[in-house]
Amino acid sequence: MTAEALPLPRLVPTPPPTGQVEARLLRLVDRIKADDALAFEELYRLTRDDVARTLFHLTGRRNDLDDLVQETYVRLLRAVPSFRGESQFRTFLYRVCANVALMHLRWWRRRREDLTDDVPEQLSIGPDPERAAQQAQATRLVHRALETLSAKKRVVFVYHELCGMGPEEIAQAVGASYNTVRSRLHSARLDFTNAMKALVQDAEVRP
Amino acid sequence: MIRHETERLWALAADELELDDRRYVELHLSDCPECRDALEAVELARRALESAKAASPSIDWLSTDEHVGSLVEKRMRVAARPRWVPFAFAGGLVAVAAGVTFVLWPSEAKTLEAPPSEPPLVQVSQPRPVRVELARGLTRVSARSEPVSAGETLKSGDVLRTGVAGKAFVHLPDSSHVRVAAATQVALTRAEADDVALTLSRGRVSVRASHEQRRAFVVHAGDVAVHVVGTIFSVENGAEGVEVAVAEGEVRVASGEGKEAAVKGGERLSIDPRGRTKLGRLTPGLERELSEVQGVAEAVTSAEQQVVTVAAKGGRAPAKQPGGLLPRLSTDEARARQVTLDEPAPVQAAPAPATTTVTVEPETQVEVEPLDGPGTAFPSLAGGYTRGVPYRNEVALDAPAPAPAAAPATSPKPEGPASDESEWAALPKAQPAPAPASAPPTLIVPMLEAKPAPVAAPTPAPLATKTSKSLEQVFLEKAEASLTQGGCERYLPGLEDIALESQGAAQQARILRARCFDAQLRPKQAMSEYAKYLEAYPKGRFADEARSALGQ
Repeated sequence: MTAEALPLPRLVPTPPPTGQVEARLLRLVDRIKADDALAFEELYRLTRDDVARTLFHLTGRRNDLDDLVQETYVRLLRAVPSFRGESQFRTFLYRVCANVALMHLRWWRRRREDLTDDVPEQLSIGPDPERAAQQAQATRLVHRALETLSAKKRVVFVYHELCGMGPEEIAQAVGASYNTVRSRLHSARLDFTNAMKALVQDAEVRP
Repeated sequence: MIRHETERLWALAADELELDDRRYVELHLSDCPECRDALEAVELARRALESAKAASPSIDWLSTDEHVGSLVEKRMRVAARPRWVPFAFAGGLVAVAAGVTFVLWPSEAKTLEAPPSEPPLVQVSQPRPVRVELARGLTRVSARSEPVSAGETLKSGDVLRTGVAGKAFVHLPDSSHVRVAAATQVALTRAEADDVALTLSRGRVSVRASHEQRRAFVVHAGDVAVHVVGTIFSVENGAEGVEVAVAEGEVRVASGEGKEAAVKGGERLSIDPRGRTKLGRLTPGLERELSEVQGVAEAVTSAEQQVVTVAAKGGRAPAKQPGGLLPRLSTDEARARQVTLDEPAPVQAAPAPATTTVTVEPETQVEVEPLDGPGTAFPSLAGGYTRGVPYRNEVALDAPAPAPAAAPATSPKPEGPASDESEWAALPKAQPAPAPASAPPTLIVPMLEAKPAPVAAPTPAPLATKTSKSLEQVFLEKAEASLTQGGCERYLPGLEDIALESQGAAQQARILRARCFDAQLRPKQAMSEYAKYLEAYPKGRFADEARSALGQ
């Protein structure tokens, strides 16, 4: 198979705005700009689960995910006045998440710590323990494979593959061009696939 | 495998290819075993991603909600403060000082007493109301939600709600303490001295129930009822059901289906919406929260004991208020609570008819002097922090044997804003005699006592320092002691409040927080506290310790 033989793959476009939810978030933003603390409370309630899940995948953090969530909302509160509605609010929120995650990824990598040892403990155990165990194992593998990616590639990859964002939206969220996002994504897919393959082979050799 | 292969195989697995492209790739795959292996690897990676996508992290949302709320609240408070505030504050201080001096001039003193139309300050038969000790983001839910602030009283039937930035401590008429967590709605269905019923619609309340005799103390959460005798526990009502956690003692939990279970200290009982129960251990977060309630209760007890001791030594009964065990002052009174019995000149005694206080025992007027600033802060009995000046009269009564004469004119007089220690060293030593018309500016605060108080001789300052402590100092001492005795985490919220708002004890509070985190082997938080200390006090008393801890 060669590059000339096959057409280039098409990336999934950005999904349309979620209508009512987005409109509600925008109304809340207007109220927050008018120093309405209750509006921020409502915004927090609406978005906190999504933010926590995103940060979890972006950083693979185990102990201080709570801190990252807190930091994200403090930064968001600081940044909301600069939001002019040029993008979806969700994109704006993901941009804040990306900034927090990038900062922590770089910081932790300087510390050279293994971040993924305790990932399963971070997971919320559902009603089916067996399924939860499989999910924990898969999550641990995914996060270990994500560790092989550079911070920027990881953000793009997680946003596309785990958060379901399209490349245009990711471009807005990370402040890069569409082509840059596409290039990072393709590169990340290659790295991730290789890392997963290596991890699975390693697990088979050392069960 | 070259890069483009993986791209297209991934696109195939992700169903991102157009129909023609897809057919082309599939055709190629049928002739290329190596590409089929590569596709298998891609599909494996995608399956793992699909599984991981559904994983949700486990987060202590209650704690996170509370932290986010408080951070947001602080930020909004700072953002709302204009830059001219510090200058205005300084100017305001001058204006207030001038105003207080004017207002407290003897001829005006009477006007500050309670007007005749006000209810009696002490009335034995009056029912004790619910008192809000600390209110952050607290509202009373009604047709029009209204904010509730510390010091307000509530009654049976009131419904309270805290925002995500909210937190409140409520003192119930039966001397129980209730901590209302963030994002909670709770109704004071019955809040009487002998009967308490709370209805928790959502969120969590932590309760330190008193051991007073009463008909019942019950917390309703959905169709679950938690019956209490005397214990420290919390009840949470959320989407996943009701959770009852007990730190000390035992509670009886009755579900709507008629089932009953006992939950003992250190246990946590979860009841899901289907009525299934699960017994577990207390989580660290819950332990901290319950410890906080216990810390509040201990601070109150400590303050109460101080008053009782004082009363025993001084032959006085502690002042009683309708709101609770400790004397409560109105806003006006709270602005001027510093007793100045060590003033050289005696007091201006208020004429009996002007005092509207109804007491069952003889009443004594205690002279007070203007406070040293409107922004003085002290820890509230709820473990929180309250603006104003601390009580001084109760500790002031801890004077030695009464002296027949008024304090000599050479008695030291505190001047201006002083440190906590010096302020409290100047506590009143004697009960003054009625003052002549030329007495210094005074304010009359009615005090309940068993008999007319004699005038005591002035006490040397060092002794007074030793015996006279503000609630803030008591709190800090207890917090420091807890570093070696254990359980310092219960003091952390109060220490943070002091560190943020106190004028004189902020340094100590900040360093105590750092030491507490150190003792708990939480280095990240400890480092953060040390860093905050150095940032605020680069030449502070504990700067060396902080630098050493930070490795500087």
